[in-house]
Amino acid sequence: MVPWQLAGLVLGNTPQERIIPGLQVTVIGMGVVFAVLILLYFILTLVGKFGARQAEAPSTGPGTPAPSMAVAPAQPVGSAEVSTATALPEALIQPVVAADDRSAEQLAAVIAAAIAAATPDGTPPPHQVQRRQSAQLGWAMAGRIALHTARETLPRG
Amino acid sequence: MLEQLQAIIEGSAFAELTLGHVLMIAVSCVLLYLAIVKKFEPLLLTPIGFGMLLANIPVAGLMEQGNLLYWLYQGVKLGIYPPLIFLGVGAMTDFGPLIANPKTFLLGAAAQLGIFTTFMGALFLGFSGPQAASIGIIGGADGPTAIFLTSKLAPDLLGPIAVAAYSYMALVPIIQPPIMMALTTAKERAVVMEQLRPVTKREKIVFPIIVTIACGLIIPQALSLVGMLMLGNLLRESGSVDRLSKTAQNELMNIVTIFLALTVGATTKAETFLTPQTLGIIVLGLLAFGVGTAGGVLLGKLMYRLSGGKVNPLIGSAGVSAVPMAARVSQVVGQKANPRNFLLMHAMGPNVAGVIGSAVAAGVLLAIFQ
Repeated sequence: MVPWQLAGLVLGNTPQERIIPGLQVTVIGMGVVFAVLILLYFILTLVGKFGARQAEAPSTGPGTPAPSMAVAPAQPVGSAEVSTATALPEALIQPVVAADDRSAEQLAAVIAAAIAAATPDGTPPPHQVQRRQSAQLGWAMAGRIALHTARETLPRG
Repeated sequence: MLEQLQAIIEGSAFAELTLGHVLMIAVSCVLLYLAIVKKFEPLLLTPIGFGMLLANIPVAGLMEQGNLLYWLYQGVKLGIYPPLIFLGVGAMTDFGPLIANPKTFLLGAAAQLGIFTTFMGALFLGFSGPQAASIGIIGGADGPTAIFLTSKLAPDLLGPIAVAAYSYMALVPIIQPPIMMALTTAKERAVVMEQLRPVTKREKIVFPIIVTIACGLIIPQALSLVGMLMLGNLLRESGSVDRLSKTAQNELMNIVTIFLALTVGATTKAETFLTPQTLGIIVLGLLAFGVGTAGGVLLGKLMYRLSGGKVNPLIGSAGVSAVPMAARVSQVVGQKANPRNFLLMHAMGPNVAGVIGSAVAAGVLLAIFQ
């Protein structure tokens, strides 16, 4: 007796005799695949939340020092308002998406890939992607670059 | 001198050449044409096509015991190459989009429907249980997984199944769009998804360890695939073993790809390949890809409804694996509906989830049939 028969799976010779065992394998198989991936989904969600809490902790924890303020450059007398503005923490001035160099490279690669996928063959690839100080979403910016590239490749005249 | 010349002529392959060999040589040339001229999966179809060519030149017997391809084939037969390929795939894959949006795991699971639907179809056509399981895994759209499972369950079908799997993977941009268009409305296709959150390095390092523990404990039969995939990814993300990561991504991956694809191509000898079974496998393979795509898109539609229109159902089709081709298809179809739509990163989530999903499905089938 072969292993799958030992597992209680007996396949008959006619299609009708194969429906039930076939369905059994399908239900068990899809069930296990969903169960494993749902389990991973929950674990990753927890890890994500735990990571987010840890990231917040240093700035709000009782034993941690308050975030240091950027040192305001020396200002001439009478420019108090200006000095207040320049003393904002650097994190508030920087773009929302903080990323290390590698992530920035990956982001540039993804934007370049998206533009390449969206433009006809032969279009020169983007050679420079700059982060812009804007409140707009990254995708909107990527879209603008794509439109700009498409405009450049249109026949003129 | 004439005797020597006659001996050479009699010993040439022409004397043994059959119509089947000629046909297979023609098929190998078509594969080489698709790979070199049309650029369809050239890294795989070139060595597969050439392996097919080598195997169908009579007399040479490169796949017979003692010859080069016979020894190289042992890596396929013993299930060594596919996990090594997974090591390289893991080292090249960024699981960030999946970690940023873990819900896309569900799309990767739904797209495995093609595997089990095709399994049932193969049973109806009279294939045995292990053979049907091997044919069904074509729906995973994952060449190494298909080869791994088939080499263990139905080694006699390895040639047709590998050729079908890789051919359909190359044809994903042709197979998937009509199904995606048929199952979605213009409004659904035009949905612009929210930007993904940034993923920390710690999350990226923890991810492969968690996946290995979870999958290994639940489906140990899938561990050689999932474990190597995750090891490759850990090499990449840890940042402390760049040399190993680069080797896994480049030298090792390229060497194993040549050995695997060449020997898989060489299993397609005319005597074993040109059979009605092969035709059945080709048809079932297409069914597998179609149903897998539909499964992912339909769950994507459900997520679209449940999320109040925040999920673009097109990303579901990427759950069939075929990294990154299927994700690119989602991007292209989505952008046709809305030029401001950039789905690539969103589709990479289900795409890499599909790789894990198909490896788990292979583990389930191994657990039942091995």
